[in-house]
Amino acid sequence: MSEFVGKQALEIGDQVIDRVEKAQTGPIVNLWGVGVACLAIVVLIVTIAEDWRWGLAFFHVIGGGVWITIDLFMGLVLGPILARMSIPARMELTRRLMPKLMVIMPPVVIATLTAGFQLARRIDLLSVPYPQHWWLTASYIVVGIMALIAYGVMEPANILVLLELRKPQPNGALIGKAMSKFIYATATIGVLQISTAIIMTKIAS
Amino acid sequence: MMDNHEPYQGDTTRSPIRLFAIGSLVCAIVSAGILAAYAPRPAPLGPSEGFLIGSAVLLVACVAGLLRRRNFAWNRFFTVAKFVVLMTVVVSAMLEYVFIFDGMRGGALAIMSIVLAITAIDIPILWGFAVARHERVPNRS
Repeated sequence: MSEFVGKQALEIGDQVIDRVEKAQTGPIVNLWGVGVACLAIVVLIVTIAEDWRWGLAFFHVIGGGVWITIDLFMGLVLGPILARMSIPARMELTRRLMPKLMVIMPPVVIATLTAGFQLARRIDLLSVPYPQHWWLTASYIVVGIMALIAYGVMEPANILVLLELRKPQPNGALIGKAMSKFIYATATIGVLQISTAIIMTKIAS
Repeated sequence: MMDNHEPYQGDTTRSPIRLFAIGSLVCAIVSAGILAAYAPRPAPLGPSEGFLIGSAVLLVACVAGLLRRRNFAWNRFFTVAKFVVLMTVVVSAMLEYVFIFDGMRGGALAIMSIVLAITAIDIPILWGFAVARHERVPNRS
């Protein structure tokens, strides 16, 4: 009996080591996910080239909805929960969550912005006179600030955490600092997303 | 020989490289934003050109600062930067296609193309540096 239990424990141990080694040497992000993201970009390019109005509206509305929801959820729901979790649990969640966000967010952001701009051009929204045009200008300013936070703070922190977690002995202090930066940046973008929603509904009304 | 007895908190010094890279990105975004705010009408190019020059100068300062850095984990830097370059080139190419598709020509297209090129260099530097600066390398000086 004890021999059987010992053998099982060894097998489980081997599986754990195998999974950890795969996580440390394999690709950071899921390659299938990258394939799907590339496919979405190709469909977006075709939609723009064909000037397909329904497709543009679809990419803009779905992309915008996903973008706003993920930012608000990450910053205002998951962020405070992460802050209260134990370090190992936080690292485990981060190890699984960050690679997925790394695949999901870039195509979502590209689709929302490019499809939105093309849609606005096609329905002649870009040529509305001032003062109504200020709403468009405000949306460009908000997008600019969000891009700056995403590229300047959020993604560098994301990559730092991902690479640190692949080391045999990850630096908990460094991961903690980078994660808090990531969560604050996401929360800020989440708040800015609310202003985007207000601007977009104002433009549409 | 590195001292591993105290927990390493990462590189906590304020770096001008990060400041220059983010400054360059800000100027590039403002330069493109001015043109976008006028679309579909032609925009005055002067303000955009001014911010573009500012962005280019800050990028050069950023690269110079990076090259002067001693004991820097270049391997780590390039591990990150090469994949980010791939991503930024794909995104920039797509945006360039959209600009040309929308009928953008002349000075505005030139400014937007340079903005995309600066961004495609700036972001990999920023992300690569953000990771590599915390890496401990043996002191060679």
